Amino acid sequence: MSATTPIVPTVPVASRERVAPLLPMLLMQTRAELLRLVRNPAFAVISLAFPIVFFVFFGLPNVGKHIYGVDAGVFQLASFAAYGAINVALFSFGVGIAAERGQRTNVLMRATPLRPTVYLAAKVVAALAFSAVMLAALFAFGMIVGKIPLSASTFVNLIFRMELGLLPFVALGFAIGNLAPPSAAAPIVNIIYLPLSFASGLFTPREFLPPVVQTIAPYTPTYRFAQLAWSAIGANTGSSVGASVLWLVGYGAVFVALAIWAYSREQSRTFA
Amino acid sequence: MAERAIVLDHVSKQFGAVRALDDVSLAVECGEVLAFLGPNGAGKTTAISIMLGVREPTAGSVRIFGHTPHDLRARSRVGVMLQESGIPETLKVRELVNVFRSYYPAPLPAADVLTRAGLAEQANARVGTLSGGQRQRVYFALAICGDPDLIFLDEPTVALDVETRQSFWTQMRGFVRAGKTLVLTTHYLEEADALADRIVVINGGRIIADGSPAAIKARTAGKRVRFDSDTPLTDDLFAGLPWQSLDCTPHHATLLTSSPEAVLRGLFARGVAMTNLEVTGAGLEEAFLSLTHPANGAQT
Repeated sequence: MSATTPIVPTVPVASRERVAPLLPMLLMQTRAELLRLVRNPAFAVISLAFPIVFFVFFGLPNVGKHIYGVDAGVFQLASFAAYGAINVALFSFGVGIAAERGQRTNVLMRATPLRPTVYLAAKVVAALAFSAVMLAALFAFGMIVGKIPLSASTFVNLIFRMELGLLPFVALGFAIGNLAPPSAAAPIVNIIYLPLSFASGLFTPREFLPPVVQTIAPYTPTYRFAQLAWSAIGANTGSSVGASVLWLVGYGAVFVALAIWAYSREQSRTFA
Repeated sequence: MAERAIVLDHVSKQFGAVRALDDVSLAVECGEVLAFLGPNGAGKTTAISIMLGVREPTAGSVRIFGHTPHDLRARSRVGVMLQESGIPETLKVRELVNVFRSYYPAPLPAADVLTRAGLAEQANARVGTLSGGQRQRVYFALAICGDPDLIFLDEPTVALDVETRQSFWTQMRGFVRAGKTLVLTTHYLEEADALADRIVVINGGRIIADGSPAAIKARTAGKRVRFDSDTPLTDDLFAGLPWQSLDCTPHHATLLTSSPEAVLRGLFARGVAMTNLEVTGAGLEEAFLSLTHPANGAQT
């Protein structure tokens, strides 16, 4: 520490009863959250690369075939868009928040004037922005390498639907992040998410799944989320978008309730 | 100034069966430099956590500049360096400082913060690559970046070498000259003495002494006197002598006193025959214990 820079007296104490403006705080906090996501290679590489790699293995070979009234390659592209988006939400929130608890950054943040709402909003915006980039990269790959014709409106509509539909999964990730032991968060997310993706037909279309799994699929939140993507490309999978939106709202309510409970439980344990 | 930086009113904190703070009342004026001095587990960190609103008191109330510790108007004037708290590893030092600056209404310029914390050369290094001492400077930078009126430092110099500790103290004194209020915890009397104009000794969750460094030092400058005796010893032999604590068995005595000469003179005058006499400087822990148990008949 430099001993040569004495502190100049600042504004008189009594006139300083002010708080920081919200918007710059939100912008700086969001930027920091984004940097943290991008600089975590385990997260950034896996989140960006896996949907594309899966598409190369399971989507590209099926371009030209047909399923549910659309090109099978496009259908798989939509499936992996859903897979990748949920992946970002569950990992950035579930593993990210658990890691902050493990490193006790939450203790220091708690003592600053950072508002919890700004902290949460910055995390949500960062996760949505990251998933939008991931989706754009996946679609661009599909269009360029897979020669899949995706209109500009479908491109935008897909991203828009994925972003909105992602909010229940953000809540689920937030709940896991507050409940899971910090070192076990990643395995816990995988244990929940991998079977769920499989069962909802994200890797293999539902009609090729074992009959029992086919029956379960429509009840999973991941299937309902993927439905938003499948219908955006015109696939007829047998259930309406409206029904899927209602399912997602229902799941969203449950996950938000779970998140609030998990958050207050964690708060009372750490800060009581 | 009528405004008080901190007021603790009969604050207690219970963790399960442990009473970490026991009915602590304390007022800190603006511009004061106060050191909480005490051994590990005395309740220092608990006290700071409660003043920061990181922990809730089981009983009693806390006011920071007249507000609850959670009030943003209070928090916006407080900087903190907290023991055992983490910082994001993947951010660069400058980025982290800038994020923290955005939390405060009138932050210091980032370049200024980095210079004062001695981090100008590490500004573009990621936090995760820093050494323990550099990391401690980052915590210091985050504590001062909001140009706070009240700074809490929990064991601030634990990971610092002697030289860095000295320049850290110089920086702290600069803040004090600017009229800031400083509250630090330490278990080094030396550190409390170097920085503070008021020392609050805390042990077992209670305030056991509160005064100027000179007054506290006078009370803790005790010696330990130890001896064996062939003639049976009784407590009566020590009555009226200036000791702070006494442990007496028939053939051995250990006592703490700030005036060993007077005690020994008195014991000789009463005909106590001593062998294996030892007079040694008492450690701070022992001094604390003697403060905790003011002995009967002793003048403290």
